[in-house]
Parts: sequence; C-alpha cells; structure tokens
Amino acid sequence: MTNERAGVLQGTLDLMILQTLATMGPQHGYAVASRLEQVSEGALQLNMGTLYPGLVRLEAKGWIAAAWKTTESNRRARFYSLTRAGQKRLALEKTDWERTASIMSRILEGER
Amino acid sequence: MREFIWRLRAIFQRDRLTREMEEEMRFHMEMDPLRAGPLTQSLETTRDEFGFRWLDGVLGDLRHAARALRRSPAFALVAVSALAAAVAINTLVFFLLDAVLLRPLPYPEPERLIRVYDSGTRVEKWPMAIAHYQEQKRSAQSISSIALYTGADVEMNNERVSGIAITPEFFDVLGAKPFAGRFFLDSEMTRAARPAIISHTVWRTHFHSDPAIVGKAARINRESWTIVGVAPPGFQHVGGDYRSPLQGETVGVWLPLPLDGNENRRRRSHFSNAVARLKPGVSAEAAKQELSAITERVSSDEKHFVEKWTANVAPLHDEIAGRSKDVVFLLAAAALLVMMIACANVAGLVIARTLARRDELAIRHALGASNWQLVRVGLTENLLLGVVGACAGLSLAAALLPLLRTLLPANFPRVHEVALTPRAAAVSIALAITTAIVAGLIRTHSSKRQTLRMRGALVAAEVGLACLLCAGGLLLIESYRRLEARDHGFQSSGVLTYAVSLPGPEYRNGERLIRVSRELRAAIGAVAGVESVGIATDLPWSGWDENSSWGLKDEHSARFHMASPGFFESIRTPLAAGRYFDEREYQKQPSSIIVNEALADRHLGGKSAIGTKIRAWGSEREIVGIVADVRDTPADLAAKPAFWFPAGQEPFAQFSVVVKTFGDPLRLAPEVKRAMAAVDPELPMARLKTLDEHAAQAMAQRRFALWLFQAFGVLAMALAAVGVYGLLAFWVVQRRKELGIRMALGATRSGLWRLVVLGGLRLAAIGATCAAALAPFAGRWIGSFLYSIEATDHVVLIAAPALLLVVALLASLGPAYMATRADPAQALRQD
Repeated sequence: MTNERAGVLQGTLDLMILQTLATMGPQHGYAVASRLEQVSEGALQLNMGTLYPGLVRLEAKGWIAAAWKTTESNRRARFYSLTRAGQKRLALEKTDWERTASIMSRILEGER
Repeated sequence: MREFIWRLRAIFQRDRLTREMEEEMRFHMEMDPLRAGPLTQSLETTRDEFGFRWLDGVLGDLRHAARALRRSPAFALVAVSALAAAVAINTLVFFLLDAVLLRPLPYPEPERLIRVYDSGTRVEKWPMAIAHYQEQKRSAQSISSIALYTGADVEMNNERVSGIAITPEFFDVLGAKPFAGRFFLDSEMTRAARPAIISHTVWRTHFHSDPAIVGKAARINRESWTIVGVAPPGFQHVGGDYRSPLQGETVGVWLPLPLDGNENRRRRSHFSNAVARLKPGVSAEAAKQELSAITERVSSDEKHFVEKWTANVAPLHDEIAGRSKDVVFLLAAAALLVMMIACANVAGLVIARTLARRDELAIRHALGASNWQLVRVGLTENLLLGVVGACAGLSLAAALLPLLRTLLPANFPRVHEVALTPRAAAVSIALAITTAIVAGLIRTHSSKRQTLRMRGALVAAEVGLACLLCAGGLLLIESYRRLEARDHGFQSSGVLTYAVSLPGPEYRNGERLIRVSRELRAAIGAVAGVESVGIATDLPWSGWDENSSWGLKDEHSARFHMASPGFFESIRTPLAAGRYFDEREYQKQPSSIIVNEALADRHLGGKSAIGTKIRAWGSEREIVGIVADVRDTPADLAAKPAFWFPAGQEPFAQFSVVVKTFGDPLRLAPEVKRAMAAVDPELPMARLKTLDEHAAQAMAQRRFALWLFQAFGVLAMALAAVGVYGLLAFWVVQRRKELGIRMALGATRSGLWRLVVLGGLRLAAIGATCAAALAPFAGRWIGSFLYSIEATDHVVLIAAPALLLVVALLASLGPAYMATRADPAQALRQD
C-alpha cells in the first residue's frame, strides 16, 4: 500500500522536496525525509535510494545547493537549500500542480 | 545546458562525490536505521546520477569490448590489420575516383562547359577551323560563348614558358575574372597587336609580384609585348587533345590568337581546340544539332579533305576525365573485391571467436544477461574493430598518398587534385564500419558444425575472389610484358631529347630557320661524347598530331613530320628500303621525302615505292627511303601512314632534338647547351629528358594500373592465406581431442598432415573453381586494358588458381604441424 502510493507520488518528488526546503529552510537529507513522512502522516516513506538521487537531480538542475555544516547535535551533515532558480521553479510547479489538481478534482466530481 | 555542465563535471569528480554521498547516507542510517534502506544499493542508484546514464551504458559496452579484444590480441591484430589494409586501398582508390570523376571541375557551373570539334566523315573530333568558330560565335543560339585556344609556348628571359593563344572569350567561357588588369579585346586578335596575359605564378616568379605590372612591357619571343592582365591565382587550364598543355595550372602566358589570316587559311587550317558554355537549360545534344548545322552551312564549298564538315560536342568533364574513367573504375572494382575479402576474413574471425566463447556466453546468459545485451556486446566489439580499423586504414592511406602521387602518370587527368578530403575520409570510415558490422551479422548462433561450414564457405569465397584478382593481375603483367617486348621501331637507350623553338622576327625567314637548325645540329654533333644528332618535329610515341593530304591529287591523308639527317639513326629506326636523309637534302632540288612502311604497304605496293614521286604540300617529292613503323602510342595495334619532309627543304620553327650519346645522356646536357649557345645565345632547352624517360611516360598509365593491381592481388592473396590459416588452426584446436584419439588409435603423423592439408586444399579448390567459372564475365571489365592476350587466356586461368592452391597449401602447413604435435595423452586428459 505504502509503496503503491509512493510510486504514484514519485513524479511529484521534486515539488515535495522543493516545498519542504522552502518552508523549513536549509535541511539535511534525513530531515527532509522525516518531514515528508510526518506531513503525510506516515503515508510517504522515502528510503535513501529514492531520496538521494532526487536531491542530486535537483542539485544538477541548479534548483538547490548543498553545503557541509554541523547539526545541533554537532554532527557533520550536508544541508540543502533552495536557490533563486529553485524558488522560481517551485512557484511555477506549484501553479502547475494546483491547476492540474483542480481540473482533476472537477472531472472526478462530475463523474460522480 | 547548466545541467549538462554539472553532469559533465560530476563524471570527473565521481569518486569524491560518491565518498561524500556515502558519508551522508551513513549519517542518515544512524538517524533512522529502520527505514533508510540498504546502503550499497542506494549508493549505486545515486552514483548513476553523477554523469549521464546512457553514456555509462555505452562506455560499459565499450570497456567490455576493449577488454574482450585485449584478451585475444592475435584476433584483434589480424582483424584490424586486414581491415586497415583493405580500408587503406579503398581510400586511395576513392581519392582517385573523387578527384578524377566525382569532384566538379574548378569552374563556375562546370556542367554547362563543352568542347566543340569539327567533325567529318573520316574523323569524329578534329580541331576547329577559325572560320567555323567565327560563324558559330556570330549565330549560335544554344551557347552563350565559345572560344578557341591552341598551344603557343613562348621564350621569356632565356626560358621557355608554357603558353597558349586564345580568342577573347576564353576566360569568359570559363567564368574567370582577372586578378589584375583585363583580358583580351576583340580588336587585339591580330598579328600586329602584342598584348599578353600572365599567370599569377609567372607574375610572382618572373615579375616579383610587381603591383603596377599592368601596362608594362615584357620581352616575349624576343619582341616587346604589353602585359594587359594577370590571371586569377590557381586558374586551371582546361587541357586539350591538340597542341595544348595538360589540364591544371599548366599555362604561364596567354597570347591573342590572330583571326585576321586570309580566307583560305581561316577555312582550311584546323589547329585550334574549342571550348564553349551552353546557355542555361540547353543540352549538349541540342547544341550539337545547331552547331553542326552552322558548320555545314558555312563550309558547304569546302570539299577539302572530307566530304562534309559538321560539329561534334562533348561535355568538358567527359573529355578531361573520360580517358581515365576505365582505369579508375577497374581499380575501384578491384578495391571493392579486396574489401569483400577483408569482410569475409573479419566475419570468419568473428565466428571463430563466437565459437571459442560459447561457454562464456552461455554462462552470461545463465546469469541473466538478455539476448539483446549479448548481441549488443558483440556489436560494440565489431564497432570498435571497425573504428580502429578505419582509423588505422585512413592513416595508412594518408601515409601512402605521396607514393600514389608519384606513381600516377603526369598526364593522368586532374592528378594534381588528388588529395585527402573530408569526403574521402568519411567514405572510408563508413566503409570500414559497415564492413565490421556486416561481418558481425554473418555470425551465427547455430550449432558448431553449421558454424564451421559457414566459415568454410567464407574462406572458399575469399580464395575465389583473390583468385579473380590474381587472374586480372597476371593478365595485366603478361600483356605489359608482351607490349614491352614487341618491336617498337626505335630504341630509346642513350638518347637525350629536348624541345627547341626558334622565336621572334629574325626567324620569320624560312631560309634562316633552315640554316640555323643545320648549324645547331652541326654544333651539337661536334661535342665530345655525341654519337649522332638529329632534329624532328615529333618524338616517337608522342601521340596523334597533324595530318596532311598527299598523293597525286591530294587524295590520301597521313601524319606529316619533319626530320633531319641523323634523326632516324639516333633513335635507331631501321630502314626497310632506300636510305635515310643526308646532306643532299640541304639542296633545294630534287625534293625528297621518307615514308613509313604502313604508308608504302597500304598505298604504294611496299618496297617498290622507292623512287616513286608523290605530291605533298604543293610539290612533287621523290620517296628516297622507307622506315620501319613507329606507332603513335605504344599500345596502338598498328602504325598509321606517315611521311617526313627533310629539314633542309621545309622550314619548321619548333622541333625536338635527339642526341645519341656514348655515356649517360643527361651528363652531356650542359655541353650540348653550350654548343647551342654558340649558335644562338638566348635559345632555351625545354622538356629536357632522356628518350627512356619519354618512353616510360608513354607507358605510365598502363604501368600505374599494373602496379596497383599487383598490390591488390598480393594483398588479396595474403588475406586469403590468413583466412585459410585461421580456419584450419581453429579446426585443429577445436578437435585436439579427436586428433589425440586418432593418434592413440594408431593414425600416423603423415595421415594427420594429409587430413589438415587436404582440408585446406579442398576449400581453396572450391573457391578457385568458382573463380574460373566467373572469370569470363569478370574478363569483360579488363578486356580493354589488355594487349595481345585474351581475358580468358588459358595460361592465366590455370596459373591464377594454381597460385592460390600453392598459397592455401603454404597456409595449411602451420596448422598441419600443430595437428601432428597433439600429444594423445594430454589431449585425452583435457577436461
């Protein structure tokens, strides 16, 4: 069940990561994953094999930047932050997503 | 774009990035060991993002292929060298094909350029009379312009410079614009005007690139001429059959062609080549119809020499490249045969590899590699072979290009344009890769026995193709040998030759021309080391030239020449009857003439012609000698009728000198030059060479085809030998166990020898038999290059297969030796 839903949501992984970073500011990978799990009330469990390729992809596109920093518990970790291009991208994807979602919901309601 | 750069950089920092990622993931796992997932696999997936996924796939295949090829270096080496040699040969032939036939001529809209000839009942292509040109220029609608040109070498600063006389439209027809000054005007086509155009090269070498050259005077033919223009750099002459420099950058000076001669001369003298530009959209055939009608109309009252004059037209490209088309196509066909052999060879090797790797492939299959993945690995391997072979072949061809240039005869059309072009490189690379891939497709995944049979067929095909090439090579060798061995009617050894032209106003007097040429001969004859000396208008084997009518009523035509005493003696042309010219011919009377055997036999009843009087050039002349026939070109079947005026009775301003010397002819050249200077201090020696060199040049095109064909034949044989050897060696290795058992059961060593050698010979015999059956068809290709030997000559048809059988025998000795070395005990213990 979990996997199935995660599969459906995979295409929107980029958007979810960008949004998480936008609301929480610079974060390391684990924090992004646990935040997503928490927000989705446990429906979304990202393992490393899904999360990190996504982060690298976003970094390659220049939407997020990464830097080594120390955590509150004094551990070294890589923190990801939204770049200017990433902010623009997020705004764009958000409107896109909202439009798609509203169209979809209208269609589905009409069917009912 | 930004992503592309990031990924490109990531490829090179992959190790560091992966290390960092690992640290990051370890941190993640510490925080949440339950849901993090497996480290190695996650790391692997993430690592794929550092770079390009498709590139990794290709690189992986390539790495695998390279590793596989490195593991069997013998296979790689043989396959690559076979491919490289074939690619090199094909590339060289393509250079030739491209330069001679494919590349457009170096003029704007070259397809509109045509050559125009006068044409009569006896001759298809004849130089054009000035009157015919004038009428065509005036009234022809199918052409936009037409020009005449004829050879006119000049003397310039004690040097002979190649020149032609042209009509004003010449450069216009060819679409050239002057580099400086202008070209000729209509009003300059007279004997009185003396304007000259010089080539860009002459401008640089003779006039020090003088920027104010236009309008200055130059001493040409010992008179003052005005330079009115400089031709564009790199301008190429169109060549011509009749008194014309070769095609290429061969002309140094252009002079006006006088059109103001009297009516009779303008109508009856045919000494000019014509080139014209068709109007857009007009076909050469349409132009021929119109120009023919014009010529026929204007020449209706000229009953001289032929019944009726018309015009003939041929595309310029055909006229320039046409004569070498056959040679180039023959070589291209031979090169393709070599390519096919190489392809079969590589295919054989690939099959052998597949067989030897059956176990490996089976294991990979069992481990989950898909069929496509296995095929892809094989294809990548062949592609790699193809690319390496292509590069090696291309480099080899580039290295051999200078050699090809020196082998090419100087009169080969467009020879100066033979070069390494991107197009030729692309063609050869495509050829190599196609070959490698085709070779890869032939490989089968069927049973071992079928695969071996397939390989056998390939080797038989190789032997057969090589057999065809060898038969062709042998035919060319034999016909060249027969051509060289036949009686040429002259001997070229120990003779120095050069051309002389007596220029300028002081030589316009016939008496003076005769006197000076006689003095020159006497002065050279007095040089120590000179055995004999003569002058003549034409050297042997200098091709078709001028004809003139003769007979009692001008009813025949024959090639006319001039010769002095000593000419026939120096080139050692034997007398059939009568005598050579001597000092008597420096008297005005009686008029004498020498004819060749062809003329005497055909028209005058052979040797009894001595003493007969014939009419030529308006006076009666007594035949004093009949000389042996010398053909116009070495391969002519028979000599054409010809006669010689004595140097003392007909003045000629241009002639060749032949000097028979006791030692090395070229060593005497400075002394001969000094002797000439004593008579005329300004006179240059042009085209100085030995008669041996001259004769070799006349044979050059044949020798060129012969050399290349020999090289192809040897290469084909080597490839076939490699094929036979490879198949048998492989067979022996595969059957080591069987051979061991046979030996254990008492088979003798000689029995095993026979087994292997007969196996090789059987394949070769099949191939050779097929080749012999095909030979008559292939023979048609080569027929026109043969002299006095049939393409189906049985000697050659037997010799070529025999040669290949010997090669196959030699190639099977190695594997046979391997077979007898098989140790029964060891063979049985294996596996």
